[in-house]
Order: sequence, then C-alpha cells, then structure tokens
Amino acid sequence: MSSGYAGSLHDEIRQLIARETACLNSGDLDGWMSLFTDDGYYWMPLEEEQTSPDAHDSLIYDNKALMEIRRNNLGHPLSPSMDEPVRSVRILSELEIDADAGATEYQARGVVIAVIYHRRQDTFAGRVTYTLRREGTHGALRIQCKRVDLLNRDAPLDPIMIYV
Amino acid sequence: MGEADQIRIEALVEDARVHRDVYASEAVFKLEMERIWGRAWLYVGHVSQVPAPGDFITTTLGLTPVVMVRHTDGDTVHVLQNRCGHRGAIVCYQRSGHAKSGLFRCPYHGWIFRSDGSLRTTPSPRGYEDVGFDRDDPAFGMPRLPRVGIYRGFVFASLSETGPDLETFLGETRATIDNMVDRAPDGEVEVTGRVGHRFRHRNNWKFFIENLHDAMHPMVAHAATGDAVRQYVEAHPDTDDGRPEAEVIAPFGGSYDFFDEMGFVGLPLGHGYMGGSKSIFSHYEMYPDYLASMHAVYGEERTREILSYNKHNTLVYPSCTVRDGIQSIRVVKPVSVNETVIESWTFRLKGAPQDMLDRTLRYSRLINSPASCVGPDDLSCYDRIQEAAETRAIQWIDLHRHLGRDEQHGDTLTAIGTSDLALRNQYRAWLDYMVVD
Repeated sequence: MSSGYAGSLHDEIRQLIARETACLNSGDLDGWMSLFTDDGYYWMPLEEEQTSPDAHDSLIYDNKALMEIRRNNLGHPLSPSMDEPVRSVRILSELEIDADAGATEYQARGVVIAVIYHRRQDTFAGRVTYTLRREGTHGALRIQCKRVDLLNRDAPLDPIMIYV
Repeated sequence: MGEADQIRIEALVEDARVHRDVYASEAVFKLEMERIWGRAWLYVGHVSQVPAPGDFITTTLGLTPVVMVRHTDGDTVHVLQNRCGHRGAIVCYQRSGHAKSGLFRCPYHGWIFRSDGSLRTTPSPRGYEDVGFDRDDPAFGMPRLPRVGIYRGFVFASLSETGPDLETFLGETRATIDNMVDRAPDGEVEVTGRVGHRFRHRNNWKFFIENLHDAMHPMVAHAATGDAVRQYVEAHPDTDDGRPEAEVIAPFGGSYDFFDEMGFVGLPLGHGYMGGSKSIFSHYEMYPDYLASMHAVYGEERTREILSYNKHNTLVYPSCTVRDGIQSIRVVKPVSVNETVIESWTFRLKGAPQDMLDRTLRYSRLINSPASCVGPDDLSCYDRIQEAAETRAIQWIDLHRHLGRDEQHGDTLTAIGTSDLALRNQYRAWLDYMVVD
C-alpha cells in the first residue's frame, strides 16, 4: 500500500464522517440519509458487546425506510412531543481508521458526545463505529453501518429525540 | 393514619372524576407505596433470567430493592430484600449476574448471605459471641419477601404476608400469560438479553397504565407517526421495505370504531384488557414456518384457537402489562410522585422461527424504546397533565365518557373500547386498596 493512496483514502473517510456529523448538527436528515448505502443502517444496541440486533432488543435499529419515517416524523405538526423544538449538536473525536487499500469495507471508530435540547438539555455519549463501503457507479464512499454504544444504555433514559 | 386522612383519600375519587392530588401529592404517593404496592402481587422477573443456581437479577418492588435469585438447590427461586442485615447497605448493585456458590457478600463489612437469604458468616465472629446476637434471626439476613409465586415461569412477589394467593389475584389475566406461553411451539418462553429498555417518565406512575386502555388517544396523539409511515409508503409504492414497520405502527391510527369494537374488560383488583378476538395485533402477517411448527405440536384447531386469541395490553394492576400477541411485558417502577421508570422485556418463543422474534424486537424498538417515535408522544401528554396537576392549573381530571353504560357480568365490567371505564375500573381498585378500615 502506497502511503499517498492510504492518506487520501483516510482523508476521504474523515470527510465523509465530518459531513455526516454536520448533517445531524444542522438537522438535515435528508442529506444525512444520502450518506448511507441502500442497505445501510443505524444501530444503537442495548447491551455491551451486543453482537446482533436479531437476538435482543436495541434502542435503535433503523434501516433506510425507518430513517425516512423518522425524518417524516421529526417536527411533525401533529406530534405532541414535537410541540417543542429538537436541537442538537455532537462532536466526534479523532477517528481510528482501519482501511486497507485492497479491502472492500473499511472501519472508523471514535467517541461521540451529543447534546440534545428538547424541553431539557440532555447529554448522550458513547463509542461510535462506522462500517464504510463504496457504492454506485462512481464508487462513492458510503456508510453501511453506524453503530453507537451509549455509555448509559442500561440506565433509565429520557427520550432520545434524534440520532446521536 | 387518622380518620380525617382516610376521608380525604375517599374524597379524591368520584364516579366521574379524580382529584389532581392522585398525581401530584407526595402524601398520596407514600400511601400508594404502602397500601397498593405494599400489598398487591408485583411482577419481579421471569425464571429464564436465572437459569442456574446463584444466578440473580436485582430490581425494585414499589420502592423496595430486591434480588431474585436461583437458590443453590437448583429449583427454588427466592426473592430477597437487597439489603444487608447489619447496617442496611444495599448488598448488590449489579443488574444481573451470578453469585458464586450462591453467596452474596456485603461490600461494607463483609457479612455473607446464602441464596435463601440466611446469614452465613460475619467476619471476626468473636465480637458477636455472648452479646445476645442471634444469627438465625431472619432480620440479620437478607429477608425473603413474605410471599413469592410463579405462574408459568413469571415470578411475582408480595411485600405483604396476607392477601389472595397469586392465582386468585391474577384471575382472568392468567389467560393472557397462558396465551403468550402457548404461542411457543416448545411450550416455553424465555427473556432475551440481560437488560431491557428502561424508559424514564418524569411523571406519576398511573399515567402509563391509564394510557394503555385509553382508546381515545391513539388516533390523535399518534397521528404524526401514522402520517410519517403513510408518507413513506406513498413515496415508495414499488418496494416492500417499510412494510414490517407499517404493520406495527399503522394500527395505532385505527378509527374510533376500530377501538370501540375491540372493547374493554374491567376485571377485579384493577386488572383489565382490550380486545379478545380483535386487537392491534390481529392483522399481523402469519409466517408459514411458524404456523407449520405450531400445527405440528398443537394440531390445526388448537393452533387456530391460540392464535385467534388477541388481547391488547392486559394490565396486571398495578405493576405490569402483558402483550401476549407480541411477546413483551412492560413493568412499572415508581420512583417518586413524579418519576417512574417503565421497563420492557421481550420474550423468545422457544421452537419458533426467527421471523417471530424479529417482529417482537421490531415492535419493542418502534413502540417501547426511549428512542421510539411513538413513546415520546405519549410521554409528552402525561407530562402535560403532571404539570397542570402540580401547578394546580386543574383541580379535577374528568372520567365521564360512557359513564353508567357499563355492562356487569359478576365482578367484571365491560364497555365499548373508548369508554372511560378503563380508567374508572383502575380507580375502583385504587380506592379499595387505599381506604383501609
């Protein structure tokens, strides 16, 4: 692997994830969804080291259909909870990237802290793992899975109004 | 309690309204913990959570911290007070785990207890010799709850020594538990995972159980989620991708007639359910593999009988609500007059194909999770009433709908689904518990 190629791949990954964070921070769920592969999903497990969303419950396990349903619901005028605004910002740590030039799938890991304002200001924090893949005719890099392991996933939780 | 206080309690509940103090008074909450939660049978957990000797879970019953543990005899499931007999420290904070050799050790002074709650040893025992200390006194152990009962794997306990036995207490709600278990081709269910959802509600515990059978709210409070799903389906006419999600969410937008036809059954002791032959689950797709495995065990007729039994939210007052059709249970954990944690657990039908568990988990994520789109809308409505009750913006909460139109069958009351009987029936029991002679 040439260092120049690896460097650009790493940059590409960082740029994609920076865009992902920016979309969520500005509440642009349409832009956010477009960064996922067609079979992409967002997963927030309920247990430490949970290996699958199929054997046990999860806080969130959204495919693109559910992302779109959640997008439609956010700010809906008929929703009692959306009577008050949902605003959020999150910051992501430096990413640790696993990306061999020959591989078809890459991984990036970091730590996320999200502050969500909805009636109260709540903080959610955890480890985040991205699985990335190329998709489409131009081979654009996309998110196949974003997994967020909340620190306090097993504590009593207030409503989580938007993706962390 | 003086006589004057008892009269005040009685004055909080009338035929067609309840006073805001039932939601906002700390004194009332304290009495509820004593008289309702201190006497009723309360759901603790399921035997599948403690399969091996020494396995335990911790939780609270009312406000009392407890441990449910499989005894070293391998057979008995004990429910112990989770506090040391010495200075009263909570012995175990782990949500679940395994006590090696069935022993619990208090982390403060090292007193050690057996899995039946008895005191085994105190360090440096000389200090307790000839000082009148009776190590066999159960008070020095982790006391066993006065009554523990298991119904088809579901463990209940009561903080009171007296009262009806578990089967009498459960009454007709047993049929819902039976049905959940009967839906398993192998005749058993088991809890998935070690932790369930724990959804904090910053409001009184009664809002959640009142909302279960409030059939006037779904088409209003959940209109947004219903619309969000409809928009998705219309935007993607050529794909089945959102269909499983639509199957779960769409019935919440059912018409008033749909919920009226489901009907409400108000049982003694505050228990109740909606549906019977028809419910929010009755239009669910039937998976051929599952049907085949059920037919193989039960035959076609009995299978049809089991699967056509459709209740929506059977309330076992005051502590839990069971959904047989979707294999989940939600458990009420009061914290204070204006804080409650709603826990939910999902169950795997042993011997059923993965499709069935997928649906159970999908339902739980979409409806029960703190990150659900549906739950926060309910929560917002409870918060609004809590705020009005606490700020005295309202004095009385109304229960007039279809008043006086109930049908009585023995000690059971029935009404059309959108009747406020669902709420009145809970307050009938509330008064019976709260007003003591």
